Amino acid sequence: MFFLRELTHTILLHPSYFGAQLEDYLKQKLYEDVEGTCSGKHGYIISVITISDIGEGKIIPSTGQARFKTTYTAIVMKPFKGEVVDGRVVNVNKMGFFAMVGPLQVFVSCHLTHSDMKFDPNASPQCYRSNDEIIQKDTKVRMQIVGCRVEANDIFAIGTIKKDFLGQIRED
Amino acid sequence: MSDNEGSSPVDVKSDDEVEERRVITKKRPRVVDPDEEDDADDVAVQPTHHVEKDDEEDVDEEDEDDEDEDEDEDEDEEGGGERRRKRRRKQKKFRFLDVEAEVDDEDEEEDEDNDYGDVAEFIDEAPEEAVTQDDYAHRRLDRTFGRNEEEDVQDIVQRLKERHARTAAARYNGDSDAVPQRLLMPGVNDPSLWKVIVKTGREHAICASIFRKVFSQQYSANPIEVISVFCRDSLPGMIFLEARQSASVSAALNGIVGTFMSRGVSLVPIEEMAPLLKIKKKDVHLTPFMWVRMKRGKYAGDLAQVVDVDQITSGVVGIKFIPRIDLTPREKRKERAANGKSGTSGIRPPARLFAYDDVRKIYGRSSVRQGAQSSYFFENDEYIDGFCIKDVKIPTIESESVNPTLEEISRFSGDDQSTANFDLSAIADANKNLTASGLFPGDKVEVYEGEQTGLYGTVETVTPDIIAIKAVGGDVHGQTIEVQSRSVRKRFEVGEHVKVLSGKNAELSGMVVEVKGDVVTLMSDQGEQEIKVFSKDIRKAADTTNLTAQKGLYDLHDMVMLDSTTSAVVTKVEGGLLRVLDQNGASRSVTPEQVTIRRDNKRFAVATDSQGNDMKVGDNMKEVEGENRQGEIINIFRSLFVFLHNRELTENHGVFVARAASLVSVTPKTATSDLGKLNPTLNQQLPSGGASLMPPPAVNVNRNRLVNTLVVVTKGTSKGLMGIIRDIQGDNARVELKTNNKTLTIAMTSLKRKDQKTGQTYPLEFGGPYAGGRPGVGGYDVNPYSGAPMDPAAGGQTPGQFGGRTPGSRFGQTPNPYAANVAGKTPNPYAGGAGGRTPAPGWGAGGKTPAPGYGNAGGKTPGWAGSGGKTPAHGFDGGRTPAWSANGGGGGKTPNTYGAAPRAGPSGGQTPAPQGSMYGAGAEAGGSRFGNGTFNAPTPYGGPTPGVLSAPTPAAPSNPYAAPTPYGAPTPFAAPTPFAAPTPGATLSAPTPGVQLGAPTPYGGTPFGAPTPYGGAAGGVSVPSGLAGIPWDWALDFRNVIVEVGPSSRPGTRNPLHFQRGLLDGRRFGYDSISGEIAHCINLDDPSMTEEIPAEYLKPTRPDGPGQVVVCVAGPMDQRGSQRTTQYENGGSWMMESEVGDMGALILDGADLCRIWKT
Repeated sequence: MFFLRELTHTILLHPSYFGAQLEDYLKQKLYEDVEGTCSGKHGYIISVITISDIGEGKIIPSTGQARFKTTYTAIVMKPFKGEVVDGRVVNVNKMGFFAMVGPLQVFVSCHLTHSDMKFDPNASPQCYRSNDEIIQKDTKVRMQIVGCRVEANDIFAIGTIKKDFLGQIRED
Repeated sequence: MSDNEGSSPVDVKSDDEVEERRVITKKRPRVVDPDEEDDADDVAVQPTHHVEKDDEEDVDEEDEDDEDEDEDEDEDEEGGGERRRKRRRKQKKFRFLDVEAEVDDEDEEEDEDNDYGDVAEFIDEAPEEAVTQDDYAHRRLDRTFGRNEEEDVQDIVQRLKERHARTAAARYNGDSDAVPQRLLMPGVNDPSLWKVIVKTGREHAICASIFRKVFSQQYSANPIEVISVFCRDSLPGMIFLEARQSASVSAALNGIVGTFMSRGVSLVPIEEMAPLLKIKKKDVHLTPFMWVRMKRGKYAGDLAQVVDVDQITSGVVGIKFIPRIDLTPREKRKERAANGKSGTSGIRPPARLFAYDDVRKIYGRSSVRQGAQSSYFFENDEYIDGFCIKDVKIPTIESESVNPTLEEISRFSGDDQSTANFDLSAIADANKNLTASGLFPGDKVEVYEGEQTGLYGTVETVTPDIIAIKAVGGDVHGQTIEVQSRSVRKRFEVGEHVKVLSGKNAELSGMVVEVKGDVVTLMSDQGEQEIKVFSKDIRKAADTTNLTAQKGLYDLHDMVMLDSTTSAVVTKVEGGLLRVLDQNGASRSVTPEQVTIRRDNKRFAVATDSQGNDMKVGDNMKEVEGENRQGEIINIFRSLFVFLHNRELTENHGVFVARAASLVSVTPKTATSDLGKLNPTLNQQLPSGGASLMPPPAVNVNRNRLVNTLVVVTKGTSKGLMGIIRDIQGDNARVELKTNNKTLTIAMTSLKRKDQKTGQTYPLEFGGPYAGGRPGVGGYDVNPYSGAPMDPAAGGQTPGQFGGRTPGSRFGQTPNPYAANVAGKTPNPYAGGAGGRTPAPGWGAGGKTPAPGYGNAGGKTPGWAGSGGKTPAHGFDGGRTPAWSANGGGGGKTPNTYGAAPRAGPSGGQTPAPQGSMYGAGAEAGGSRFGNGTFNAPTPYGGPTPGVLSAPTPAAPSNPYAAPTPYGAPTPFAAPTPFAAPTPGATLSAPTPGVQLGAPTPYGGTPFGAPTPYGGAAGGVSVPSGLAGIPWDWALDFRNVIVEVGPSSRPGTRNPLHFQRGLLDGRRFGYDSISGEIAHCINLDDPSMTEEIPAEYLKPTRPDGPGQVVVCVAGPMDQRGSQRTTQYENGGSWMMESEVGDMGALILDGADLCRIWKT
């Protein structure tokens, strides 16, 4: 699920950057530092929308570096248990398949697929196959997240397609 | 303790026995001693099913019986010894305690009835009391007499008080129960208790042996002063001896097999002595279908299942297990026995289900008897469905911590193959042993048996057998309910993150993907694998786990050092072992002790990728060669070995190792200036001024100097077109094409510098400004050398190194300044090319260093380099020379050419020689980056030998080589002679063989004459095959032309001289496309015939008639790459049809032209 959140980020700036371009540099560095990262607490930081306060730089004694505490608003994505998401399959193996939902990796175990869905190791590429569905690499799937493992800087989810209206998304 | 309770001097007891004995004394008729019972059983059963007994079984049983008898004996014998010892002891020392003991024995729980009688009988109270009373009576009499004489009421009162007080304190004849208990506790004056480690399982036997030993020596000269010996079933592997000194213990243990004296005899602290005897075995609670393990005999450790508890009150339980029947053929067994190995010992037959046919075959039909309901009797045991069903004594089975594994259980359910399809009910049963120890408040549980079946809840409090759970859902929602801890199981939901607490997968964590009854399937976090575990073995993991903090010393992807130079990364933590992948790509398992961890490496490690960009841990990189694997950097070692991880790779759990130089960032990196580069102080932090370990990164400082450089596009759709760089943007250049005046953005990697005059192509990075045709300037402003200027020392080094390797070139470089000047002055094409290049080389620097500014230092350096290796002496001088020259202004300048120089030169002679050759080599290298070749082609040489030359020089002409040379370097004196210059000048011209063009490179113009020669060009040129003036790789720049196959034109090539041994020599091909250095060619005569021909074998096809479309592949720079049409030939030169813009008739050498195949 996506949220708009106000977050802060502390930037340490080397004195060689002090100058007219300072602010530009800070902004650029903020984007570089935070966009695309993930924190267990907030989820994936997709994009910085606005920088509300760049903070005032404080020189740190002994190093000469300046510290800016920057406040910004960003779109974050955090998965929740029970959420239904669409993703694209990136890897299929006998235990199940992995799908990417944007930056989030979701694993769907073969136990969490319909019982008529069988792994076909001989197909190329390998796939899960049932009467009316084929899940292989690059297939678009709709899953429900049943659990998340949240680490300090990563999130990993387990999904299921063993429910109505889940599974392969057909392009039609 | 010893006195009242340890009633015998040497007392062999175990828990069971203590209890049993009590029972025996009280209710003898019930006869429950298991040992006896066993015997009784034997008697009862054997006659019925007695078939010939197998030897081994016999032995077994007899053994056991023996033991039993021993124990019995012990008990029997206790009586006599006990009495005697006790009497002695008590008389000696324990008078006081004895009195108390006597009185309080009744209360002693552990006391034995008959003991009491004994004690009463033996305690010799009478004499003592008689003595004291006697004494007392006398005194009293005395006192009475005295009192009578002077009676004082107060005294009397006082005395009465004292008397009573003393009585109270000294005599505990009162009715208190508690006090005596305390006083019974052992004190410092009592014998000590010594703990001895013995072989587990042999405790009883060892106690018995010690008992016998002590007993037998009791009346010998030196009796063993051990008062008692005992063991406790609850403390396996140790026995206890009561003795006053450890020497006695040693004496008692001496010669007893199975005791581990080496592990020490330790004293049991006084305060622990009583608790030691109090530890009680828990009541064994056996129920049908419970799993147990057998403790002794041939089945020791085997899993068994309780099937029958009917006789539990008599200490017997029926169990079922997989038999181990020896199915070795009879003959073999006899053989083995004959060899001295007693039949059964040693080999334990494998456990396998009883199969009637097999057994009958081996043991004979008569040995197996068929019973009711497909049961068989074999050697007194009953077998049903392959399992052995047997009644055993409870003490011989272990019901605690059985922990059956899935595999064991699956064997019971008759399915050996996989754990995948075992009987779930069997597993559930296994978990009946779920003790409260596995439950923690907060765990979610489910009640699965009893009244509350189906209830879900959260554990609130835990006591050993009963837990309180707060129910969730149903009628009782929210209430706290107490249930048996064994009737609940933990409950997990799909998607939960859990951690395995025990079992072979302990410490793993994963997410639940399936729950079936008690079996939970996990998707492991670490590797891509599924694990099945019992729900009792797992618990919910913290919601947010910080994997690094969680896992102890070594975590996944940590870098460890296998030895001081070999690093590795942990790919998997397997219990106590680490699976690591070392820097060479080998995977191995190590114990944590074998490695040391490198913490913090992750934070600081950086490396330079193939494009010179930084990479850090966490970056996504891709291999540019080999398998082109992609992954995220997890660690970097020495900026050289990069460990990456890609979840999708299966090998080594997704970890692989690559060289830093073979990686490239997946996301194109903006060449943002890095702090490290911007800030000079950071650079200085490198060891030894940055000059040592790693060559300074390729210089891409000031790329803008490439602006206005004439280039040719070597790849892509614009391939072959020429243009001028107008701007640099990261790795791309904006190139203004000559043909149509368009400006395109082209990757710099697909551009090559074009020499305006000669038309040669050079790598872009290389020739710097010169090439650009700004000769004058070049010399100086080029020198980028970063490091050098700042640190002369470093500067010195660099060249030194190079010098060693390639003296020649170095030499050449030195002069730079010269070269530059010269070039400037002499427009000569050459100069342009060669001179220009010199400086460029970035940090080849050393060479450049010398540039004017640093005259001195620089000067020397090169000197060294040049001659250094070979003729040191000279070298030195040489070195100076330049320096001089610096001072002297023009002095040094006479550069020379190189190649030749060597021989000719008088002293310098030798030196140069090498150089000449080097040079050549360099030239070949041609395209290579500056970094490596440094000198390559571009190089400058000439310059170096400044002034010096003087004399030697001139001669030249005759011998091409000789000629040039002046190197004089060696001549120190020369130095002064600025003019010396005169030298080479003219002479050279011809001589310089090297020169590709053959042309006359001399440059007369120069005052010094010097300027010259460039071997550089020459080198490249040394085209043996006569492709004069055209570089061997010309074909790489042109496509869709007609080529001819011929001998390789690449100097020093490693390929054979002729392609396919000359098979195709002279044939003409249309040259279609190129990959690497291999041209894809199509035969003109037979279009179906295509060949992959290395570019070095290709020659341009000259026009052979008027009206042919040709492209100029060599010759004057301004015509290079242009397409013309031939009009008329004269003596090998062609006049071209005039085109718009031509100022006059254009005449080109036929050798510079190549026919176009298709346009």
